[in-house]
Amino acid sequence: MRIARRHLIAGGAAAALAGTLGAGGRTAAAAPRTPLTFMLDWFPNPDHVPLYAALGAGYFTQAGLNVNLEVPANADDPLKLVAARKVDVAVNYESGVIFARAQGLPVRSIGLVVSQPLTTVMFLKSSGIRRPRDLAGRRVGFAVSGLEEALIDQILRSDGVSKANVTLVNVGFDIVPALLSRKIDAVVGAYRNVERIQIEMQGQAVGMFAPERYGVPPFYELVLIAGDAAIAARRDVLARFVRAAGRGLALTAAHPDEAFKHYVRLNPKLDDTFNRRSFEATLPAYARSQHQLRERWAAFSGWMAAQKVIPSAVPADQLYTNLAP
Amino acid sequence: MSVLRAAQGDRAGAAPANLHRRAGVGAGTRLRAYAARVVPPLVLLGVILAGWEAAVRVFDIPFYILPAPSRIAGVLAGDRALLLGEAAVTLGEVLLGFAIAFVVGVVLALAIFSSRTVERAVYPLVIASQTVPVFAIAPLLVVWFGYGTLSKIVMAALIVFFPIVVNTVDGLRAADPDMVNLLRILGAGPAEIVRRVRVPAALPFVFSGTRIAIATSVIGAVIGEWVGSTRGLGYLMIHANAQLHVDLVFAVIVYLSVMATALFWTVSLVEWAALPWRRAETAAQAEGEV
Repeated sequence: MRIARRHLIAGGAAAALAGTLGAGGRTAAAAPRTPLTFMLDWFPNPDHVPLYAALGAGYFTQAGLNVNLEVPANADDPLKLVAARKVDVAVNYESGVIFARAQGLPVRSIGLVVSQPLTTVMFLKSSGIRRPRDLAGRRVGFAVSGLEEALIDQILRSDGVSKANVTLVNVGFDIVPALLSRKIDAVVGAYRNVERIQIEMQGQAVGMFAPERYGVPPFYELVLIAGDAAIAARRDVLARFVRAAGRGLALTAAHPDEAFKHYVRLNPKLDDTFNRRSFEATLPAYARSQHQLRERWAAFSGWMAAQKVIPSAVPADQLYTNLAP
Repeated sequence: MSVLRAAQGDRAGAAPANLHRRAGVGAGTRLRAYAARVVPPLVLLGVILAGWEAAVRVFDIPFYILPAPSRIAGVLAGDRALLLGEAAVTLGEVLLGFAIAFVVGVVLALAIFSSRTVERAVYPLVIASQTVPVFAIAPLLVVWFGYGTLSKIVMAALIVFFPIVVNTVDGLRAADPDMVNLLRILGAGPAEIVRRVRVPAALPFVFSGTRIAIATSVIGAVIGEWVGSTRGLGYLMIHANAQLHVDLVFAVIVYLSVMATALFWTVSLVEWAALPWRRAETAAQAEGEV
């Protein structure tokens, strides 16, 4: 019984390996694939389904790329590693690119993964909060992103309240327990496709203020980043990467179930209800095109400067390059 | 007679001079001993900083991977007010945490020493408490004790607690058994033996534990600030990191190192003042070295 099961597992692994080799083998025979190191922004989560779909469907292989996927220890690492050319392409945030550029790191966005904001100010419906003004006199938690004070300030001001009227508390990684245990009344930086699902799965109704509805310029939640030097030296390779990622996004839009299957096949531990529901909530926000808009970069950079989180606005042409229009 | 007087006069005249000379030698030796202590670490630090600065320039290491010391120095000077303000918060947490852990730790050590039952029951738990990764319990402490100063104080106290208990117990046991027996024969009670023999014997151990504890307690406070705070050097550090202000992160690290080192030397200074007999031993050692 035991032996039989082990054989079964070994057989499955061998088949999977043969599949990978087979997919790569044909192209490799024609031309050697270009190695490329690709780093996520955080551990694998449903935001990354289109990237895993591109990986699983062999789009990178078909583009002549041998993608080596890495997971960072910290969401800021990809910016530094891409700038230092230790990593070729990485996933990061529009605000991350602007912070990096404002500090002089030679990185920019070359493509899109999630083109709508996902971050929010979140609270339990039972808290009685209905509009930003209701936050006055309450405790608002945040996870450090460098942007939290600017977001809450903008949202409060849009409803005529000053930031001085709320108590801001850093809640570290514990957003959901902090809200559920009512240690805080609301939290800045909770995602409408992650924490909302987690809280709803605990049986609580969730309320949210989406920043783009309260005067924060709409921004790209997840972008693909590369270093200036890498773009100059390997523009074609990076363009092939972005186009392959775009095919993964198209596959996700057209056949969500198939994309999700690739994701859970490559991340077996993530095959659960939360990931399924979170993916469904993310579906409308995935990028539909790899064409980045200059106005979006300029508006958000200008807003960050107006909020004084960066010393002055970074010119938009330093922030992005459309490699695969 | 005159020769004798002359010799006496000589001796009388020579004596103060001799004394004076000896005092002069003493001061010189002390100065030299002091220099021997201070100069090597300063030289080594200078060499390390120079090598660091040179490596960054020669290999053209970008500042976001490793900022040069000169760049960090610029931030230390420019953001002085900010850094000092946050450092005061962290120092307060460290000192309060330390004070609590010291009192609880010493009382517990006395209990462990006095009763085998207490020792058997408590000692394994004290050791087990040290194996819990602080980072894993930090978020829980925040949930239990809130987002204010208390959770950071508890965190610092937890780290300080263990070396103090263990060293104090070892110190209480280290007393000379002959001395203990002598006092017993002379009719001293257990409390008096503890006070007259055990405590003095334990103090050097307590100070050793305290030195280690106070330097590492800074780590506890910083972790506490990482997972739930809006003040302190730990919070400043993650905030600067999120905004890719890498040189400020390094400036914070400099502050934390200086703070831990200063606390370490403060404990050494208190030990020097409180234990004169240790001072004599150390001086003898130093003279032996010279």
